[in-house]
Amino acid sequence: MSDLSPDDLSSDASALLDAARGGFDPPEGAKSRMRRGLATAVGLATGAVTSGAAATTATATTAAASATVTTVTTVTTAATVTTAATATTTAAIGTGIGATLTAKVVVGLAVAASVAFGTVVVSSNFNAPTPSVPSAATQSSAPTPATSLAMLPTPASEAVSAATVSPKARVAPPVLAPEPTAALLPRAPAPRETPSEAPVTVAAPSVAPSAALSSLAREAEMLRSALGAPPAQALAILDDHARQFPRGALAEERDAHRVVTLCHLGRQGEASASYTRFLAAFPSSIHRARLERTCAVAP
Amino acid sequence: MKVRALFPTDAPRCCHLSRVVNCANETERTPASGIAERRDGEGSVAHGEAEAPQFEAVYDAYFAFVWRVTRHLGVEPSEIDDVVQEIFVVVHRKLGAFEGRSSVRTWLYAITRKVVADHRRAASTRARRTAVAVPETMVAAGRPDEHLMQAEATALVARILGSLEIERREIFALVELEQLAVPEVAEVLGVNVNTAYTRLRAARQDFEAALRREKTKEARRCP
Repeated sequence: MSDLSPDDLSSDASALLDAARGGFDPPEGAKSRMRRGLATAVGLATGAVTSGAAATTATATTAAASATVTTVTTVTTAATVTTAATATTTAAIGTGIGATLTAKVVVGLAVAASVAFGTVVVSSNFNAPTPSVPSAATQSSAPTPATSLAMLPTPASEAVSAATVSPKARVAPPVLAPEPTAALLPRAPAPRETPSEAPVTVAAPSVAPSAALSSLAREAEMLRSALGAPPAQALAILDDHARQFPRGALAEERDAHRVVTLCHLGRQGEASASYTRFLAAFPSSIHRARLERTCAVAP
Repeated sequence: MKVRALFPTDAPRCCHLSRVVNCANETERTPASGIAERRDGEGSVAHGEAEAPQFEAVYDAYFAFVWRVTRHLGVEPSEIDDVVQEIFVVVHRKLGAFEGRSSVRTWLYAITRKVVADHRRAASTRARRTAVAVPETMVAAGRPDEHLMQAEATALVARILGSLEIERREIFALVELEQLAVPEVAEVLGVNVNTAYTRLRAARQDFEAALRREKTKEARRCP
């Protein structure tokens, strides 16, 4: 104990705590899963997609974009969720923070939806979070306990099957059309053929229900979600980051993480190429030592 | 596959500690680790002076916090869902009466503490010193190395926390993991600030001692 001032932790302990801190977070999907439980318990509106679920949806879209498998389903989900979300969140929260939250969520999801549909399905709601919505909310988000898709909020998963068949019907719930841009709503589905090009939407995971995040915070948020995502999805997020912030403050971290991620995907050739580019761009990077231990550097 | 070689699954577990601590020391200086830990905007719910914050906003902003502190308080992994749900049911009921005298966070913690204590009483047959839950994220496969490192660090911290006496564990987790200010913690624990500092100091010493023991154990097994 002699080397330790009673008011401070040793550097080992501090470093360990720093490294451990993020690991105590709830597992992915816990938030929306429990939201459903609470819906039963206290009547919380399950459709009220706030930041966590927005992040989930956006991430789901990311996955769809890179994996090609469930594009239509997922994105339909995004659109449907959004309509419900706007209505319910507006109804539930109303002012100040609520409006910000709604705006943020809806913007994010609007992008997610338009990625696949080529339409701005929900921006009308964003512009018009009117008090007339509550009745719509009750109807459109009618909570039905979901059994599948644990990560997604109830109305979304409920909608998936219906929406896959006929997205249009679901995307344009008549109840929801608040005045001006309602005309936009029905003009929805234009299923994408090249999901891999879809600009992956991770703008929204910006979790903060506070005011607009700085771009650094958004960068950090994206990278954090990349760090927490499975490799394929992480790569899509990193791509998106590169598009949004080509010279971002965290470009170095992004590119370093890309090398690691490519290795995890077993794409050694690309990893090596990435690593070479990385070294050229950041010759004295602090990440270099770490990257030298990856597959990017042939043994 | 090269990735495997990076993290040999058959590496003796006993040799992980120094790697975790050393790597933690190393990554501490890199911006990347800052990213993983930054919790932008978490826990900020703007609300008017007079009016209570809305439940949705509170749930959204503080879900992760409540989840973590429930875990820090030693609730079994299998029971966290139930306990967290119960907490938010109480929050829902009491939110109207929230007067903004304390921060939302400390108010929530007080509720969490109470619910966890009730839960613990109800499950009093269980061992008093329950180990702090090892996060589910630990078992996720195919994660990049930062995550393996984080998972190991988290597991180690959880193990050490679980060995601390409950009062010390509590203050240690709130200050060192949740990074609350000591006066804030003192308020929610209902002790004066000096007492809180004293307790924190003791908790830190316990933590350091436990960490040293872990290191010694490892050194013995992995000469």
